[in-house]
Amino acid sequence: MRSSIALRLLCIAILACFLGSACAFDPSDPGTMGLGRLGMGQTAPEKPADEKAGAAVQLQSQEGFKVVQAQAGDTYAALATRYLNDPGQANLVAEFNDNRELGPGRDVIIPLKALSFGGITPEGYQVVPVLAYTDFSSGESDPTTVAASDFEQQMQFIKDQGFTVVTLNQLMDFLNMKASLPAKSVAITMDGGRGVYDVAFPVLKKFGYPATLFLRTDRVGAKGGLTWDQVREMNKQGLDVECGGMTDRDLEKYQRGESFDAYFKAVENEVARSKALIKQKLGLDCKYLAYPGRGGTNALVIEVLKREGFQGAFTMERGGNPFFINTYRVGRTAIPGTYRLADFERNVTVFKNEAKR
Amino acid sequence: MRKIWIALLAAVVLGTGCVGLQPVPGDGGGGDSMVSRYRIKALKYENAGEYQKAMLSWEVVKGLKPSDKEANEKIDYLNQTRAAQADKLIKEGLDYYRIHDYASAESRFVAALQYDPRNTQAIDYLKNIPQAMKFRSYKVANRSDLAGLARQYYGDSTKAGMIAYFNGLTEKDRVQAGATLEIPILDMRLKRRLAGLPIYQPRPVVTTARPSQPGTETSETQPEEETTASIEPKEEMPTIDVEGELGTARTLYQARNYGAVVPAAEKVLASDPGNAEATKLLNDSAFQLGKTLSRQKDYVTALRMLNKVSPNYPGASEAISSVRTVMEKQAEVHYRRGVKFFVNEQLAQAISEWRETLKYNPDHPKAQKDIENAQGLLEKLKSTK
Repeated sequence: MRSSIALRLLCIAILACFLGSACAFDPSDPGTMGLGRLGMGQTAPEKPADEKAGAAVQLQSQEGFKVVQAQAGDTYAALATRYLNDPGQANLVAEFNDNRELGPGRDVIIPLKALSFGGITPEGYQVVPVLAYTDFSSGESDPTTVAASDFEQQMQFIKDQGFTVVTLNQLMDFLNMKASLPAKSVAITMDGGRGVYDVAFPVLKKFGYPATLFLRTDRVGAKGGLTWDQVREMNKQGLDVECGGMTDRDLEKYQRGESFDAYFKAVENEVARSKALIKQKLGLDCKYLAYPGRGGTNALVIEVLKREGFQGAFTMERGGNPFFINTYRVGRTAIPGTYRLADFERNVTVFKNEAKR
Repeated sequence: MRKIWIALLAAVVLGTGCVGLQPVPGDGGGGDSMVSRYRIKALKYENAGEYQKAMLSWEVVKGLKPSDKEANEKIDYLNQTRAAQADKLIKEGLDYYRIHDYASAESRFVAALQYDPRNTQAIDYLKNIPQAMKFRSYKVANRSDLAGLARQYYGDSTKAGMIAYFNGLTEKDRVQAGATLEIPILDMRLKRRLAGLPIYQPRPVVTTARPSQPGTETSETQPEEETTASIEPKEEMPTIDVEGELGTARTLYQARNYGAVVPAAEKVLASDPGNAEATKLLNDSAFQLGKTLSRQKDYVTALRMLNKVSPNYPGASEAISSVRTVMEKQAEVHYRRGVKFFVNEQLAQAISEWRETLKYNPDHPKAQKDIENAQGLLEKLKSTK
């Protein structure tokens, strides 16, 4: 009798053991853990490809947001970097989660879209400054030449202030509404003086910043200009090389006494021949042009650029660029050698206030 | 022995039970608390006019609790509100654009994007339309060289090179009768820019004939061009390049960008009311757009578009009647929601719903009066606080 009771009890114990282990969650299985608590156990959790051991785990992914679970050591900046590829969105993620303190197991909503499409908000919109340097000097500065120490200070400022330096391709993806950019983004362009090779490029390499050289072809090999070998060398090391025209003539309007015919031929020359020469010398297909001279343009020049296969072009209009700007009228902000750091700071604005009416 | 068994059983049960009851790491709030948090957040964003954030907050609520009726309704409501606000601002922008007040037009288009950042019409106007080079298709009547064509079209044979470039020809090519060329339109803005003159300054008026000079053209033989000779300053009046606008509208129509065809065709008709091609483009585009918007449940804009279509256009009156019927039903839905809010003493929401009612049915018999009553009550409540 006793042994029969014992046997029954043993069976009950085994059953209880089985049921108990079935009900218990497995801490190593984040999906079941979070989904169970959120009442959404129907779908298996996705695990992001970039997720590292110990990083936040993703519980749910919808079109506009993800639910993830923070792990020890996670911060909003880390989550924004991991899921939005933009530490600058940390404040938005924090705001969307009521600035709640993160801790292991805390559910966090990561907004993936719509919070700020094109960087536009009720208060205004994101703008991306494109810095334009003419030349650099290891010695004194002058209006068109930035001293090495000033340039280094400016790059350090960009780093310290948490800017992301973007390529022109990334900028164009933003302007063509194919991708968003970190809230504090900036692009760096230069206009082909000898100092680009001697001064600027080493600094850019030190900081790891991408940059674009707009090459004015008649200056290559001239006194104070770069050589084709130097351009080739920098390009091989990652410097983007694009078209800066042939001469320094302004394309926006006629020169004094110029006929329409002569004007139109000059436009063709500046655009098509400089592109062809860069292709011939460097084997590169330019996608972008910096308008020569004073950086002006008009509808006719833009039409020629389109026919020649350019995907965008840059004026010398100061100020940042919103996503809705015409891609053939992207503004560049000239940084003269006379700028002190405070002047530089004023010219890297990344948001335009324009309250919703 | 029994004690041993009992102890063993207790140990097993407690052990497994402990695993099952082990506290879940995390915020402890669970799904319901999160739903509640995001519901409050959504309402807060909505009140602050931050529709993108409000929308996403409701999407979170809906994602966590798919059956949530309020979230589903709010998402629809916000979609409609945003579209309606954007539409209103675009209309204002177009009005400014038509009178060449480009700065005001731009600010309206930007504001429209703040409500609806993916609004293609606003983006298209900001990015492309004011700055695009326009072309006119030109059918060559008699075999000719390009210099002759340039003289005939522009009154300036030195523009032959430009015609050649844009048509993949050389200047020396002769063009056969019947061939179609794309002729660039050098409009007033471009000409002023080429001549280095300010674009939006008072426009000079010609009082004497002048011979053709390099860089300028006389207006006698070129209807789409204007001279830059300056004699008597006068406030710039809106000018229309009918052929250019029509070409733009045609291209946009071929690209099925109906939203942009409508204003372009209207612009042509404002200058040339009898233009048959513009009328056809407007009818076809507004009709297509109206049907699409109706399918997207943007009935207010759909009706506005369909009302632009000529009354005898096939299917127009039926489409208008169908949209009106749906709008009346929508008006009633919003009216009833308003009543529900009113009964629950949620006066602001009630007013908002009744305003929606009026949007769908401006002649609604009760909504306006109810809004006034609710506003009166709100005022009283405020004064008693």
